[in-house]
Amino acid sequence: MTHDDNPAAEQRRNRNVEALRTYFRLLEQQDIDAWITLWADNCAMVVPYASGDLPSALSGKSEIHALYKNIAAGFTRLEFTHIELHPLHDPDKVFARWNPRCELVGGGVYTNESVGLFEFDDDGLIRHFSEYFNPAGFVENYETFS
Amino acid sequence: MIMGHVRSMSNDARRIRNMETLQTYFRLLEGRNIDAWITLWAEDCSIIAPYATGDIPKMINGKSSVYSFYREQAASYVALRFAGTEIYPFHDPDKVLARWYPRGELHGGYIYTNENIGVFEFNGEGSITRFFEYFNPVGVLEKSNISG
Repeated sequence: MTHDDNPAAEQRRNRNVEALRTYFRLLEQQDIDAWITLWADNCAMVVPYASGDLPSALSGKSEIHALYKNIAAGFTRLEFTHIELHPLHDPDKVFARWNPRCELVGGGVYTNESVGLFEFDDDGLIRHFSEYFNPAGFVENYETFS
Repeated sequence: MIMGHVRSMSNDARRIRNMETLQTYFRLLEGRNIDAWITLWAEDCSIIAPYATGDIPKMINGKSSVYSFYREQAASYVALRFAGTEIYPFHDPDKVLARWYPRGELHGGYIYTNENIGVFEFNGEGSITRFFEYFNPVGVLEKSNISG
């Protein structure tokens, strides 16, 4: 199957990239109630390098909402110092690379370099997200998140 | 100026060529045939591994350095497999995303496993110019039950 010069595919690709721009903006604003509307009801998230209290798999919008509400509550400020969005040839997949910088409620700053593969459904909602980050940085700081 | 024959290659043809190169890449790594594997790389290539720790460098520049490092790595395995490798082309025809699950049997009877994801960038001739590799720095290492 080819998506070259296919206006419908290009439109989907652009829509999904735009959804991810909104995704990171809403995370920076710590507006998790708006952010969760970008996800499909039957969404899933896998975090293969998760360690400590962070789960390596989440299923469903409510689980993802609860985890991110909890994480966001641990930040006084969150910014992404670098974001790259690279659409795949499959218009429903986007690869992202981003650098979070979080000022924590308990003091200190958490930074990492993360990458992930986002998969969208026909309606442009995120149905699957695989996230990779350096667990060394995360383990060091996770206790201060909650 | 880009050569005419490169220009004339369609985006789809470039994607297919680069994906096939990655299939060859993993097959040659499984065979630990680093002398053949290194021919897939451009002279001015580089590897960036942001999560690398210990003796694994975060950056390797140039074909000869990549060759030396992988020769050394390959020599530490008695067998290496990449079952279930996923290869996805980017819309940019010169980039390919891969996710792979190395399982290596090391000298001494240990088994190393991990889940890696990486972005490969190719030049107009289809050689790898840059590779961003992400792996769990605390990859699993277990003593195997394999005897002998």
